[in-house]
Amino acid sequence: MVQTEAVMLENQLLAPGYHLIRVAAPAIARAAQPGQFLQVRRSLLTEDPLLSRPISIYRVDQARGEVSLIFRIVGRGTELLAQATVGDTLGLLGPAGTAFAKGETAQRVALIAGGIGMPPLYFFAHRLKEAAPQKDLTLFYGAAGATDLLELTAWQALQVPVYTATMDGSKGAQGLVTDLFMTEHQGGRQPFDYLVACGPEPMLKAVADLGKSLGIPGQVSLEAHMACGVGACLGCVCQTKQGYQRVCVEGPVFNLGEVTF
Amino acid sequence: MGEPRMAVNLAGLKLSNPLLPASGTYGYGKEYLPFCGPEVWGAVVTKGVSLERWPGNPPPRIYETPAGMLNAIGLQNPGVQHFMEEALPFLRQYQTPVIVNIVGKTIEEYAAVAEILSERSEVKAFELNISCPNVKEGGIAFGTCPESAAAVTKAVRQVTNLPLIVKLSPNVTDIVAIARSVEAAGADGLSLINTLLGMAIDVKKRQPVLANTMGGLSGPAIKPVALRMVWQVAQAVQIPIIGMGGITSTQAALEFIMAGATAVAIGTGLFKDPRLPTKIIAGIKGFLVEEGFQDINEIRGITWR
Ligand SMILES: Cc1cc2nc3c(=O)[nH]c(=O)nc-3n(C[C@H](O)[C@H](O)[C@H](O)COP(=O)(O)OP(=O)(O)OC[C@H]3O[C@@H](n4cnc5c(N)ncnc54)[C@H](O)[C@@H]3O)c2cc1C
Ligand SMILES: Cc1cc2nc3c(=O)[nH]c(=O)nc-3n(C[C@H](O)[C@H](O)[C@H](O)COP(=O)(O)O)c2cc1C
Ligand code: FES
Repeated sequence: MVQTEAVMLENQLLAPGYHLIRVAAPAIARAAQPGQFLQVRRSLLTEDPLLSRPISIYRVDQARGEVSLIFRIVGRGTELLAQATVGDTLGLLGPAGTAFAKGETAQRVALIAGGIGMPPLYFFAHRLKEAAPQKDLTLFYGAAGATDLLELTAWQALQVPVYTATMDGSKGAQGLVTDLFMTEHQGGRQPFDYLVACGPEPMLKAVADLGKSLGIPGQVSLEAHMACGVGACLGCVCQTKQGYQRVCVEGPVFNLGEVTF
Repeated sequence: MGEPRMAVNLAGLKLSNPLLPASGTYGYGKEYLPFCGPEVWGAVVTKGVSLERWPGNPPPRIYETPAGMLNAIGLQNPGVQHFMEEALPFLRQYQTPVIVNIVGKTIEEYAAVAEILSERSEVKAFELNISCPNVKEGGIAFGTCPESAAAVTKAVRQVTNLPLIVKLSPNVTDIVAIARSVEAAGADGLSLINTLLGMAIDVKKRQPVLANTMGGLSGPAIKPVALRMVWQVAQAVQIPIIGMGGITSTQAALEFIMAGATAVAIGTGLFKDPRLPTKIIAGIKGFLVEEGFQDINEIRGITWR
């Protein structure tokens, strides 16, 4: 884990309210594993907002020493990040937390993304394609509406089939992404044997319930408000079968069934 | 002129510099190893240790507020036995003195932890947390009236010869009265301040943000209050003070020392920048040189001395 001030190389508006930023951070690019996150801040000088914001790693380019993140503007921290321009420095701490496991014997992997939970799954899919090309990956991607579905061309380039669901029906199936997954799991050519999910808590709970009832193993990536991001403050805990566990150290990736939703 | 002298004497402990981590923000020292290991600090102050394991409060436990944060961790800790098996062997590898922060639900529990840990040569002093706002029994209950604060102090004083530092709550009408009472009961030093009791409401959910409803406010937002309290207490007692509350800069650390603190602690500031202690130590040295001081002890309480 490193703390660094990284120069911003790109700040792209992906869709209204969504930004992709690319930064020069060679040490982080070298160490980063899919599922891990960075503690990001606009500047070391600001005391309001005081805390860094946890954001998942979307892409790394190890050769160029670059890291990309995607975030949605929801409050002051992300608003300030969105205003940063190329050449500005950002404060980064990471890579932090646990990574997705490859699911050793799994053959048909369902990636289930809800909204801004998509980016770490892309990083995971990218690495999995390299490390285990024999595995069959499918993305189930749910969001509020069509403009909240990001980077679909990147997934296409990765040659991962994408099934989309939107709450307003403006693209793909209308309704919950977990329902879309069930339809495909039951009606598709072959059932899935591994689930990897990142998204809002109700979706993760639904995935955990599905995993349990279908008997499919997998992992989920959780969110929690964080202060230190390194395991010291005990502020980010979630309830698990082993009692309270830190989302920043024992998570954000937990085995399906471990978290008590 | 050489390097300015940074060593201070805190209740008989010789510290190589006056910077300490604030209890509960630095774990037992391991988590921050990549940025500021135990060797950086004048002493390590541990997360609170109780007699038995405490599970802590349900989440959400923290919430950011303007230039500060609320926390209701609830003193989650694995208990004194586990602390001796896991934390002390790690801390023993360093020269830095270890100050163990103690919490309890009863006076007997405070004394029991102090008695057990007094046997361990790695432990150089105790800090009694009689001021945590986040546990229902104990904690702050002892720290909000002079009599009970004195009673805990006395009980622990009887079971240990190690330096005894008592950590005071700002959630009181007269912090000077409590400080005097604790000094008379045998404390060798004081820490102030702990967090200020606060809360926040989620207007969409129409309920408090923290599962515990209330939490302790820390960070730059509380600094003026903390500084005022250190200033008042330092002039009222003879024992040394660890000043804390919102320190995120050299300037802030110097203010506490000039208000009368012998040492200063950094809590929430570490979350913002884990290299803060190193930067502040260098910053204080630079200030002393620039202003023509040879020794940090020359500026302690300089505003009123
Ligand atoms: C491991 C992890 C990975 C994440 N990855 C991404 C990502 O890739 N892209 C993305 O857009 N968002 C991601 N998030 C959520 C992101 O951290 C929040 O949206 C962000 O902190 C909001 O900050 P703000 O100042 O804009 O909002 P505000 O609501 O003003 O923030 C106030 C406080 O609440 C915290 N907070 C608010 N919402 C969240 C949340 N959902 N999770 C954690 N803390 C929150 C903030 O950090 C801050 O301390 C991730 C969260 C976690 C825990
Ligand atoms: C997350 C968190 C956990 C804390 N835990 C403890 C604790 O276990 N014992 C204690 O005496 N004080 C605890 N405190 C209080 C700090 O030690 C310190 O007194 C207070 O935060 C003010 O300093 P700061 O503004 O630099 O953080 C905690 C503070 C925070 C933010
Ligand atoms: S954010 Fe501090 S322990 Fe996880």
